[in-house]
Amino acid sequence: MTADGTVEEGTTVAPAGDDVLLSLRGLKKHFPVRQGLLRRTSGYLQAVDGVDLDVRRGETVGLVGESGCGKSTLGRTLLRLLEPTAGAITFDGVDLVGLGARELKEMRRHMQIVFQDSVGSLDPRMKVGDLIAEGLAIHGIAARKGRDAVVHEMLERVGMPPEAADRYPHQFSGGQRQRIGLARALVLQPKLVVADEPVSALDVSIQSQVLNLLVELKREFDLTYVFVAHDLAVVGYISDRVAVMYLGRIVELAPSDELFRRPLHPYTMALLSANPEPVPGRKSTRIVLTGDVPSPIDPPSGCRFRTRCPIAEQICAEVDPALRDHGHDHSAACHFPGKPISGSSSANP
Amino acid sequence: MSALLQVANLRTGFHTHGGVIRAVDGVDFTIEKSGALGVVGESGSGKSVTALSIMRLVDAPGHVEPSSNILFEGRDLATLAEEEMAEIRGNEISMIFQEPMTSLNPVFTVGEQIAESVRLHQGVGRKEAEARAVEMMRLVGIPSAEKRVHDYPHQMSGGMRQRVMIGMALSCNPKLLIADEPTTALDVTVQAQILELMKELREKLGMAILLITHDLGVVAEMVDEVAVMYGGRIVERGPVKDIFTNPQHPYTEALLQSIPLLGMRYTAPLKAIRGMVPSPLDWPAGCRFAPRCDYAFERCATELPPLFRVERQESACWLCEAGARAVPPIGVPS
Repeated sequence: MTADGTVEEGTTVAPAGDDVLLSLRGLKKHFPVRQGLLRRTSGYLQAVDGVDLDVRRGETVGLVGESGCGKSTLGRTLLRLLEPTAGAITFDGVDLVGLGARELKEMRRHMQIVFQDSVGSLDPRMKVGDLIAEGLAIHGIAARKGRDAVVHEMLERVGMPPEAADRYPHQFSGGQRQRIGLARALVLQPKLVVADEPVSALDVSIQSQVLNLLVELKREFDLTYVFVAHDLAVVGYISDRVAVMYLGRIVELAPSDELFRRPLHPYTMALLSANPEPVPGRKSTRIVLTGDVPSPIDPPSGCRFRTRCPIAEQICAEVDPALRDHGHDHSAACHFPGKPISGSSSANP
Repeated sequence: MSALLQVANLRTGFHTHGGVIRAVDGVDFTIEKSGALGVVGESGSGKSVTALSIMRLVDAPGHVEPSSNILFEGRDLATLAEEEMAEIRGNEISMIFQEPMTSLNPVFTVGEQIAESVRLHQGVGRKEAEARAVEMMRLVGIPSAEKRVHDYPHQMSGGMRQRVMIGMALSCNPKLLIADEPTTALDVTVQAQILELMKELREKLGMAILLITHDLGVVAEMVDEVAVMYGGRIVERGPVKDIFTNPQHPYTEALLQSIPLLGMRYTAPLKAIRGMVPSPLDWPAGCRFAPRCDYAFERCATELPPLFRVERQESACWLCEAGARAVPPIGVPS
């Protein structure tokens, strides 16, 4: 209910206003697929294929979808950790794509990322304190002497004792390492944090600790999040708006409540009904999609979801549906938005 | 209904230089013929070691303590000779794992692998075993099965590979299927397919299922009876419906409240269970959940509570000694 009172004009293709921190237009990331003895490029894997998205200051936008939908690639490309193949990224009024290496490094302190794999993303040979202070050193913030104090304060903020600074990452549990990753990202006081599956590797009891912490820190540091995850309930919980992705595209974008109450895209409906919930007896007839996600190297013509879509018609194979605004800050890329699917009790347009 | 599997006082330890890791420390449960039990718990709760102990797949330095009883149709698997156990494994009790890629051999076609298990256990000829492989693949819903039997595991998607594993596990008509996190590695829409398949096959073939998972949602959909594990022990068990709507053990209650449900928002903080799971090298003296429990009192720190019956469920909490625990309304500050 929180997002209902906010800006109503936000269609996804509206020009970036002042309240927009990050704006993506036609963003693409294709990876060459090499084959054979000469490693010739035989095709392109279209991981992200034309994404328009505005992230407003202070909001959390969730990117949700199954493996291979491009959500993690999008998270990295929007920070230019991966070079985009095409499209525009505007961050805080600056065109990121046109920046040279030095200017990009300058911008990096304002945009940070937290990864799922806290073992792989924290150098095992560095002490926690040095890991957190590394960004400060790189950006020349805080004199060497002052850094300890900053590090200790940051550790405290993420719920860790200051003594942790003198220990190594392997001495901590998964949940604690995720807190260290957060401290490392936030010590630079960024404006935007991309959180890539930050709680997926954690046990449920630890997951809720980290989710609560993410919410607290966002308030305290005035952050804007792009939250990438595959768990619809988790994404919906933490996000103001949720973008559902399928095969490199956003197929639906809406405020969290609105998305769950009134899903418009059949893929979203299927995801919602497939989500197992710990509520016995809630067994509504569920939409079970047939088959697997098609290859992003050779996606289907027209609508990319049509090969698994229970309501697909002729037009879906011919015309690629655009992401269209349907009011209430809610857009969907479907020729038949909101059409109920038989066997579904959740779809009531 | 009669009992198919009766596990009593199961204790499995791993002898290491640092001491004995008591991964499973006194577990009892029963599965009826054609019954379904879910065992749910977080990492380190002992749920997977419980499954491996039943299959006698615990390798050194781990071992099942001699006082443990694993009665399968009256025979004690804990003391059975290895040759006899090999007869039971794959034949009467089958197991599927989380990652089908590591359970399948990459250099043989999936058809050869299913056929191999049929030949080994049922002593049928090559031709018949191959026909059975195609039949099993059809049963688990693999399209154009007669063609896909010639596929190698890497040519299949994760969901298809898990179907192959299920097909292989069921090829000898086992009486009990142990499924250890069968859908954890799968995407949610594929998970839905596999769960539907398992439910359907259970009805059709009438085998019993022991489902091991960390996912309370999967438990709610798949089984009617659940055992919640914490610190190597069962802390609560009973009908899923009763336990999920009226948990008696504080751990179960906290676990249920820490999961965001569809439609919940960050404006209401999630229940967080403070601290971490204790070390199996050194379990707390009393109730193992006591150091993290909001309701703990003196006795909890010194005496390990047994399971107390509370209506249709059982809970290992001192507060349940005299029946149902007075449950404070949800949202009461901890």
